[in-house]
Amino acid sequence: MTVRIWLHSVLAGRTAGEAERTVAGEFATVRAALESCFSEEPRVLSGMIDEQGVLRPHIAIFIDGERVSGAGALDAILTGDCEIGCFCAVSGG
Amino acid sequence: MKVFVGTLKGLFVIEKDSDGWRVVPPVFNGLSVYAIGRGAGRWWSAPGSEWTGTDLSWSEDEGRSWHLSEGQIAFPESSGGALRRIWQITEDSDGRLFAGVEPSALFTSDDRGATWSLCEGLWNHPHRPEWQPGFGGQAIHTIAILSKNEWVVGMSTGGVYRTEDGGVTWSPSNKGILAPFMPDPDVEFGQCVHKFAVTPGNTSDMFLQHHWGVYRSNDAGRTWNNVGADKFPSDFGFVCVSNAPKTSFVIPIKADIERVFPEGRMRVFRTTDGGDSWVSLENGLPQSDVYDCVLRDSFHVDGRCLAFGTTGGNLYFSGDNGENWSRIAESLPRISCVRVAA
Repeated sequence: MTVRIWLHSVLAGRTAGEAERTVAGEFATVRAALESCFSEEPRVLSGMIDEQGVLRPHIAIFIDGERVSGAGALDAILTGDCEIGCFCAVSGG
Repeated sequence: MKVFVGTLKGLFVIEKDSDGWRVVPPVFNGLSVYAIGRGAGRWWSAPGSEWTGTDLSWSEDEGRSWHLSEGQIAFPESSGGALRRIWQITEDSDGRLFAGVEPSALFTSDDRGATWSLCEGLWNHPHRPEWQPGFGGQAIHTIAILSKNEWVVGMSTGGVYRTEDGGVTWSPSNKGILAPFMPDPDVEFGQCVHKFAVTPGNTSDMFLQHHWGVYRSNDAGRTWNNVGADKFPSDFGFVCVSNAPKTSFVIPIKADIERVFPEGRMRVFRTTDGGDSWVSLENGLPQSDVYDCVLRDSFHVDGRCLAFGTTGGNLYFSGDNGENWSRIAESLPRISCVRVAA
């Protein structure tokens, strides 16, 4: 399985490297893919996921262009090669 | 001389040199800065956003450069908590760091911020499920370290809590503070304490701005007396600072819906006799058509130098104990905290 991961906006600024990554392996869920990809960059993960493992409320996850909404987004099942987009919601002022 | 200003769009330093005050271009652009504090030989700040949470940072060159702290404040998974915002950073005389956060909790660090520990005694207090967030959020917004093991914290709502065993056990410390918004105003806890201050040189002497009224304690917060009844244009306000025995400064704000300066006049009130009398300090402050507000951590004092910032982005400074004021910055983003370094 090959997963391309895109970090957008503020999230991209928290990486030590590129905002677009490719990670290969077997990943059952979005969470597993993200944790594998950013295992050496805890600021990226902490910027999306809080101490209780919950997706932060203003972060949105898309799989192949389709939004995976709600608290269960991190546990969405990956079935094969895909692209995960991690976006900051258009909120604030 | 400089003033650190935390805003909803970054951290500003306002410096005074031979040409007057100047605004240094901000750091943490676009991020909310609710806490600035001094401790362990560093300045600390906590920029954050609704998207990615809060990151603790420090500076060892008076705010010229900032570094991400090697240790970040985070709730243990077993606590069930998740950090929303850091509201207060301070230290004790040994350089131990203390951070008050939202949701209401206290963290400490004995290694200059490399690691942080949740104060389990306060987090597991049986009252915690009954603390309710005020409009600003449910946070520890005031920390006073009276001695090695005697600490006092304030939150809204919940009120004042104190420990005398270094955080192991905590008790509410609101005796005398009335809570008119409760069915029984004379409650043990649940008060909407906005800020309190310890007078320098006497840790038993404290002043407190409650949602309703200004209070003083002569016994380190164990009991409180209202020292502001009918002495201000409003008994509501957010700030409370002190720089001398029996002395405190407060800024009345019109409650409850409008939350602007009463009568459109920007006034600071000072007592030097323990709250028996209060003087309105107005010289240099606008006295008409002011629709502005000062939030709880946006007033600070260092010696005779005072500064406060408003939600409208104005910053006022006095170098003579509040007798005369001048606006030293304007059109900043909404100001959430201020620290003077005289």
